[in-house]
Order: sequence, then C-alpha cells, then structure tokens
Amino acid sequence: MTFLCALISLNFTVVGLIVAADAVEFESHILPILEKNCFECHSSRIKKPKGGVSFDSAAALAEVAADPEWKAVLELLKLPAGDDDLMPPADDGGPLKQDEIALLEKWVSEGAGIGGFVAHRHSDEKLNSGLGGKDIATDIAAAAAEIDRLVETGLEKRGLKRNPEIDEATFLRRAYLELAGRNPTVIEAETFLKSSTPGKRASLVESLSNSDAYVSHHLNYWTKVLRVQSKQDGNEKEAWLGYLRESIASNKPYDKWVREMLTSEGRVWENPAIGFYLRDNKNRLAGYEAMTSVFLGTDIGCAQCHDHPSEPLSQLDYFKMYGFYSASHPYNGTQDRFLTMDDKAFMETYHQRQDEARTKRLTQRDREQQIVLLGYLAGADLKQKITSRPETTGSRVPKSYRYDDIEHNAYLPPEPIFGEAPELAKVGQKPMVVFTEWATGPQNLKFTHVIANRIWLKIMGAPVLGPPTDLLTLEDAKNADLADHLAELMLACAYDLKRFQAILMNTRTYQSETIPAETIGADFAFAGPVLRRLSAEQIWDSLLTLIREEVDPPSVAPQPDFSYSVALRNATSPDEYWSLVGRELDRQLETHTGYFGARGDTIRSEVKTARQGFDGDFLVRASELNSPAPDGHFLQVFGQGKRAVIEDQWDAATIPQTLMLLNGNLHDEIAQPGSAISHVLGNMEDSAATIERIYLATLARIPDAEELVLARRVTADGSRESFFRLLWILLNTTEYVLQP
Amino acid sequence: MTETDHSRRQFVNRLAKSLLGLSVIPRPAFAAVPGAKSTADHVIFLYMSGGMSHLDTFDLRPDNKEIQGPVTGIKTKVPGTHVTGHLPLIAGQMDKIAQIRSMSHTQGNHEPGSYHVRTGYDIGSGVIAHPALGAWITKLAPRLTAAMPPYIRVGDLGGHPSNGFFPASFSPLPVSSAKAGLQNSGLREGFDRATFQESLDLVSTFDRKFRQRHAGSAQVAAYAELYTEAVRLMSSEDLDGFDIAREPAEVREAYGGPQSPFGQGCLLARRLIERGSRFVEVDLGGWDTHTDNHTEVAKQCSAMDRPIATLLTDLADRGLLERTLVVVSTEFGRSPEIDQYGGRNHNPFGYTNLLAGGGVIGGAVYGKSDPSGKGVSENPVKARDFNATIAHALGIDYLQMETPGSGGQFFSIGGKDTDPDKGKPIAALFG
Repeated sequence: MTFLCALISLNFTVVGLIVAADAVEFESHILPILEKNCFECHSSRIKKPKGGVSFDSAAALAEVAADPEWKAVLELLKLPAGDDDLMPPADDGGPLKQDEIALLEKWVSEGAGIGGFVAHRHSDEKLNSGLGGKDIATDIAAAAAEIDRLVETGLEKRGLKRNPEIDEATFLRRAYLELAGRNPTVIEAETFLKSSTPGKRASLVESLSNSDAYVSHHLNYWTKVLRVQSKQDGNEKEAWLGYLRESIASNKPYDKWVREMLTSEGRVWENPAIGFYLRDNKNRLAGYEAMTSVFLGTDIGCAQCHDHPSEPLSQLDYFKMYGFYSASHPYNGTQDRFLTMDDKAFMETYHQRQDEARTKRLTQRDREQQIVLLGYLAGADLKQKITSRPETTGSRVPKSYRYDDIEHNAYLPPEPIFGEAPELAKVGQKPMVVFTEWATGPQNLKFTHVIANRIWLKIMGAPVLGPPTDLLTLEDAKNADLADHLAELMLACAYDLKRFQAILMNTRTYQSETIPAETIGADFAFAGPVLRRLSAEQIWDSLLTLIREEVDPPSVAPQPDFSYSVALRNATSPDEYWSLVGRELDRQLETHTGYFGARGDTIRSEVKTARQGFDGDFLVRASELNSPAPDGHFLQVFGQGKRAVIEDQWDAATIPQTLMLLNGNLHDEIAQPGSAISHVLGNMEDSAATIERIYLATLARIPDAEELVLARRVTADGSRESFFRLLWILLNTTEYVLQP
Repeated sequence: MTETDHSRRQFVNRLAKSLLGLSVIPRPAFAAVPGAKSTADHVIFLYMSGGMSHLDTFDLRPDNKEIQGPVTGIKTKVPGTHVTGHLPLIAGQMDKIAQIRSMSHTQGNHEPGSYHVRTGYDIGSGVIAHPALGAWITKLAPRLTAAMPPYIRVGDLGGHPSNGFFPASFSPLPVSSAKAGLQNSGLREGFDRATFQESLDLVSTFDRKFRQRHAGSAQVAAYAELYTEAVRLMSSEDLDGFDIAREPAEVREAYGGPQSPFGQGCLLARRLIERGSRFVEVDLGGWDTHTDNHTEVAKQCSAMDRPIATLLTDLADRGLLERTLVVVSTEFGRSPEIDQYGGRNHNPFGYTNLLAGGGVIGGAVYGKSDPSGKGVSENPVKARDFNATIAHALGIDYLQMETPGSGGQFFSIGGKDTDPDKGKPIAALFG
C-alpha cells in the first residue's frame, strides 16, 4: 500500500515532558508521546496500519499488550540509531528521547494501564473544547471581535498588519454584492451614504440579509455548489430549485436542509428535495463523489479507480463507503408508475404509436409525433421516485478493482471513510437515516468545518482550511485556531448561515481594504478580504439595475404544478393517458409554455440570447433564467459555468468579455429613454449632480475632485450622449468588474 | 517535502490560479518530446456530429449487398481505394488523406461518445471535467502569434468539454457562425474609430487610480492588458481573419457558397490558421441517420464533399497543407444492420476517422474493420491513440501529465504513462 509510505515523513518536535515521580498516567503522559511519534503509521484511522499495530484505542492497545507485548515494543525503541528495525524509524524522527523512553518503561513496569481511555480523537476530529457550550454567537459585535483577535494573532505571527479600514462607499458596494448579488441602485446608494445613523453598516447587513435580492443571489450560489441544471429533462429541477429557494428564503438551518435532502423520499410532487438524488440519477457514483466533496469536504474521486496516492484512502474504502451511502436509490422500474393501469398494456400503445409515427416519417412538427414524444417524456417523469433501501446492503468489489488482495465481486461491508462506523442495523431506522445521522451529526466535525470554511471563503475570498471540497486537517491550516473557532461559531449559530455571514461581515477583517489574490497563497493571513472579480451573475444583475426599475424577483416562487403528472399516474387506461397527453399538448400550444409551446419562443430567444442576452423579455436576474444560460449568453461569456462540476464558474479575463462590454448591445438597452438609469438621470440639467449619479449607478461612490474635473470635460457639451459616454467609460473600467 | 505539504502547495497554486485568471499565469515551456520533430503546426478539426456512417462513406462493403444497401463505390486518386459515389470531389483528393478504419470504443450514446473521443476520457464525475484535445494542445504548445487567439471553434460550446479542468483561457474562442464572424468585434453605432480610441484612452484615465491602488494585483493588470489585447485584435489585420467576406467570390463559391455553413466554416478555418491560430474546430451536424440512412447519408455527403475537397486543395495550393493537419472525426460509426425504418443505429465498436496533411502519408489506410462492419479485426485505435497521434504530429508530449489539483489525480492526452492501456501515436502514418 503505497499511501502508507507517504505518511511516514512528518517532522516531529518533541514537547517538554513532565517527568512523573508519581504513577504514570496514560492519557496525560503516554498518549502525547504516541500521538507525536506513532499515529502516523499506527492508528486505526489508517485502514492497514503498519505491522497491523495501532495505539489509538483501548481495543488496539489491548491487542498490543497481548501480542507482541509491550516489552517487545520497548526493545524496538531502544535499538541503536542505525538499526533497520528501530522505532520510530530514523528518517521519521527516531529514536525517541531518553526521557520519553524512560517514561514508557515506567508505564510498562507499572502494568501499562490505560485508565478510562477508550479511543483517541485525532486533532482534526476535535473542536476547541474551551469554547464549547458557551453561546458565542449571541452578540454579533463580540463574535466579530473574537474573529478579529484570532486573525490579528495570525497576522502578527507573520509580521503583517491589518489593512486600513474601508470607507462607507466601499462597504456599501461590497455589502450589496455580497448579500444582494448586485450593485446598489442610485437611490439605495444615496440613502446609505447620506445616513448618519450610528451602526449603519451593521444595519445594512441586516436589512440586505432579509431582502428578496438575498434569496436571488444565494440561490445562484447554491445552484453552483449543487450543480442544479434547470434545463435537465423532467420537471424535477424546477421543483428542487423551488425547494432551495424556499430553504434560503426561510433561512432554514444548513444542517436541516442537508438532512432533508439526504433523507428525501417519494415523488417530486411529494418531496421536491429528491431533486438532490435525481440530479445524478444516471450516474450514481458521480452523485456519491459530489456529495462527499460538498458535504464531507473529502475529494474521493481518484479512489474510484485506484488507492489515493497521498491520503489514507484506498479503492476498497471508496466502495465500502459507497455501500454505506447508497441507501437510497432512484426508482427506475416501471412497476409502480401507474396506480392502476397495467404498464405493459401502456407500453404496447406507446410502441405502436411510435412505430406508426416513424413509419410515416413524421417529424416534430406533426401532432401525432408531438403526442408520442410528450407521452414518452411524461412517462419517464413518472418513474422518478426515491426510496430508501430496507437495509444497508454494502457493496461488491468492482470488476475494475486493480489490486489482487481481494476477489472481484467479493462482498464489502458498508463503512464510512472516516470517523466511527455507526450501528447499521438499528431496529426501525432506515439506512438513509443512519447514513445521514453519521454524515451530519455532531460527532462528524468535518461536516461543520466544511460549511464554516465554505462561508468564510465566500465572504473573505480565500479559505482558512483549504478547499471546501477537499479540506485540510487542522494541523495543516495556516491559522488552526481561527479555523477551529469558526467551526465552533458555526455550531453556536446552529448552522444559521445568515447570522454566520453577518458576523463575518461585521468583522474589521472584512471591513478592511483588499489584498491581491496572489499574496494570499503564501500565508493565508487575512490583512483584508481578497480582491476578486465579480461573478458573472453579479455583473449581469448589476447591469440590470441600470435598465430595469425593479430587478429583484419575489423570494417566494410559485410551486410548480404537478396536477398533470398526478392525473397521468391515476390514469386507468392507455386511452385516458393519451387523451390527457393530447390535452396537455393543446394547453402548451395555447399558453406558449412547456416542451412544445415554449419551444418556438425558446428557440427564438436562444438565437437572440446566443448573441448577447440583452433582450427585453429576458432582462431578469440570473436566478430567474435557465441554469445554465445558453451558450454565447452574457452569463456564459463571463464565466457562469455549466453546473456540470461543483462550482465550475470561472473568473478569468477573456477577449469576448472585453468585446462585449466595449461593443455589445447592452449599451443600447441602458441608453434607452425608458431605462432605469435614464429615469434617474432625468433631464440632466445639473451637470455635477448627473455625474454624481452616474458614479453612484456604476461604482456606487461619489467621484473625487480630480475625477469630477475629468468627467466635466467628457460631458462639457451637456448632451445626453456625452453623459452616456461617461457611463460607457465607467462600465469599462477594471473597477466596475472587481469587488472594491 | 511531505505529501501533505505537497497537496497543500498544490492547493495554494490552484487557488492562486483560480483567483488570478488566466492571462497572468506564465505559459509552460513547450512540452515537446525531446528529440521529436513536429510535422505540423496547425490542426483543422472537422467533427462529423451525430455519428458518421463509416460503411456508407469510406469503409465500403461492395461484396456484401446486405450490409451495403444501394451505395456504390467509385475509384479514387489512390489505386485500389474506393469511396462512396456521393463523395466524387473527395475521391479526387484521397491521395492526401489517410484513413483509420479501426477506430473503436464502447460509448454508444452521443454525449458520452462525443466526450470520450474529444477528451480521451469517459464522462462521469461531478467533480472532474476533462479538457478537449484542442485545450490540451493550446496548453502544451506555444502560441504562434501574439494577436491571434490560438483555439477557435466555429459554433457554440454547448455539450463541448472545452477547457475542462484547465483555466478558461484554454477554452476555444467561440465564433457562433462563420458568416457572423467574431461577436462584438465591430464598433457600435455612433462610434467612429477616432471617438472609440479617444473613449478608450479615457477609460484608462478614469481607471488609473484604481489600477495604481491595486498595482500589486495581477488580476487588475490582466484586465488592463486584456483591453489592450482586445483593442489590438479589433484594429489588427488579424481581425480580418474572422471575416470570410474578404475572400473573392469564386473562393467562397468553391467552398460551397452561402448555402453551405460547413463550407464557410472550413474557409474561415483556413483564414484563421493562416494567421497563426493553432487549433480550429468546425462541426458538420446531421449524421444521426436513424431513419432512411441512405438518403440522409447522401445528403450529408454532399454537404461535406465540396468543402473538404476544396479545403485540401486550397491548403495545398497555398503551401499550408504540409504543416496543417486536417482531422475528420466523429463520435462513432453506424451499425451494419438496416432497421425497419431504413436507419442505421450507433456503432462505437468500429468506425473510420481521417487525417490529411501535417506530415501524414496521404492515401494510407490503417487498421481494418471486421467483415461484419461492426468491430475491428486489425490494429484497433482508441480515442487516446488518435489524439496522441495528433499531438505527436505537433511535436507535443502526449504523456505530459497535468492535474486539476485535487485528489492527487493526473491526466494526459494519452492517459497515465504507467497504464498499459495508455495512448500511442500511430507511427505508421508518418513518413
């Protein structure tokens, strides 16, 4: 097992030891030595510990006591430095110090008792217990101050200083982009900047957190993380999006909605959260890998085909955990698609109709062919159902298994990839519930670290604990105290993400000037948040504020109507089924909705949007458009991503983006007399006031004296065109596309 | 350095990359195989989307009427080589074309098949996206000119693997149609060249303070630089490369004229590589001939015949064919059986791809499909072998490993170098 070799190479610093005159105590004296020197190779976390020996649980220690016996172990510790059998090996810091060996000898001579010790919690598995229990989230200002203190300690260690505090205008734009996902409008900006209320920053955070815009922006955020594609076949995505929207709008605790999705069962109109499972209905391993990355912060992808080269994760572990996870399964059969109708009889009529249409060479313009296709699609939708398996079945060694230590198709017991295996056969409890409890329960600290780290990354622009989809251990974190504290805070917030975000945004750390992206990589010390380009959605939604008066969609979307699906499920005969489909086709054509009704429009709109995306009917916030937007659409050009891979959005500067901002027809929409910005600018008689509003509308700040002089020069003739030229100039600045 | 350190460092690099954007990452040195000589500088990648029937085009079955149906072969410029009578012009160019009649994989649906042949990997994970061949080549080969975008795709990016796990700068620049040219490259109404330039200068003036304040940020520098690059492209002669209207009418006609979008794409491709693009893709859709295969394939042949034949002669006349590899690829071939609707269904187990120019021996036939037309009987060629062959022609190390930076995974054009199943170039096709 190659990965074991990789583990044996950490540098050890031996801490000062208390030489005990009294009896040696296992947990206070011996365990620290074992942890420092032995657990890298001899721990039950490693699937195959070296020599089959581990020292981190009562059971394992009992085995050592029986065989090879402690005396034999002591002999290995006392071998000369050059001996091959020395433990720990010379290149891993061996031999131990004399006083350490003496302590171990004393402990063995006293009977090698372990007191009440059960199992060691490895450092990445435990939270800072000093803070546990106290409510550290109640007072937002105090919670923010504690974070600032921990950040500052990290900065001091590296000889760095916190950046200067940002001004009100910078905070304004930053807070709007972070919480509302767009620039403030001129009026919103004026209101905040003119206000002299004390604590107005904290108030802004609070009010934006409760706005419709908050829901729109955070729906975009989670759509990327969960890879929600609204255009996938079937209507379940719409329902799932509705579920996510509702969960965000009601600020449902994160752990709660994750649990709801992981334990979701039924049909889509019964439980829209099953969209989570249906997302990867056709590729369950992809769904499993994505789940492990997103919620458990562990990228296990490579172990599908081979042992992980650098982590204790084997190909067998991958499939054991899969056996543990796959407690739910999409229902792909047809047996219970219809309540009463015989499925075979239905399928016969389907094949007949299909055969007829193909023999007649009908196309999708022909009604008969349209009905066949709609009937087929609806029938496929009716199969969408999730049920928990009655028991956790485990899995089998796949054909592709590349090592010869176990036969193909051998049974693999279900096992988690880390942490303790729960009791699998709890009476009366569904396997998907057992799995979910393990994954999201308080004993799985990774679950909490993942979301704390994820939200920190979202707000500050860089993580404290590595990528949220593949977390570092606390030992590897640049500021472990901060990372640990954030997890603690997340628990204290009871996974209330709004509150957690508000605390971070109230820190002085957040309200500091930015640091360039390339410096963060060196030390992950947060002198300020990281300078970032706006997301594709933030740029699009900000531009919209110049065109439309009201851009934020209501936070509650109408629930999709499943009455048609329910009627089909209740159909008693194929004739009834097909006549329902015929009626649905009529409805679609009349209302210009659905597969065929909207199709003409969709195709038209895609031709248009394929050019720019700036087209009257489709000027709505990104969260209300199809996810992902079509190719060539503004959102795609600016890196929206395809929702194919977790957070596949990108923010690189490209030529098509520049050309779009320079020459694209978005400027036509903005300059129209009916646009929001035209309305705000009014008759443009007062040149200084007009210039100020243009600045507020684009950069959410007031021009300084020098800029005002420049702007006056550009708009010297006072013409409408000249003011719009100033607007064009500001939209093309780097400042516009970067978070201030 | 411990492994833990290593993965952390990888993470840091990756983060820096994702935060920086592309244009600021130093380009890697040309990943050339030591001592290898390239035989091509450019690739024109023609993709027959939907699954081109090998049996009705290049790999005929004249002795088996049941498989062949009504298709009759004609002689070509290469003695003993026949193609369908629906490709009379390509027949006259077969001395430039090498056929690989033993392409084979197991992905029988369009999306997975297309992903497989374009990337060399199977579609699947929700965590890793693999780069398309063009992205690999753009990543591993140096740019030929400063102004000309290296990787251009005529058509949309829908369903295309694009840059995969590489940064977005390695994704193809999409030109939605050859006729329309590069989006937004023309001046807006009301702007003349002088006003535009003046306004651009004003953008720099207004942006100066911000840029100064963030002088340490490579991202800010990248944006500023990009404006320069975009404007350079807008005003350069290279932009003319995107404008096929500048071709003489008889040339446009020779490629099939305005009624042939594919022909216009081929003409555009020639103009682009002429100006220094590395890799240009053009698709010809409509090959999914499930119904009335023979009628449909005849239509498809007439859509591909003139454009491809003209492209080859045009490139040869201009002395470009020698260093330009023209590729004809598809996701799979079609089944030997004709079903009750007169259609052929998907067949990934054996099908035909073509290569021309770029050092490839014209007229060569490599590999053999089996007598049934379904599988391969001689020298099977995997997608990875085919892609490695293209990389090999460009002098690129097809086993150069790249990582998305997560989970310790590494990928190359040819797969893992330790894998017995790794891709190998078809050496026999080169002189």
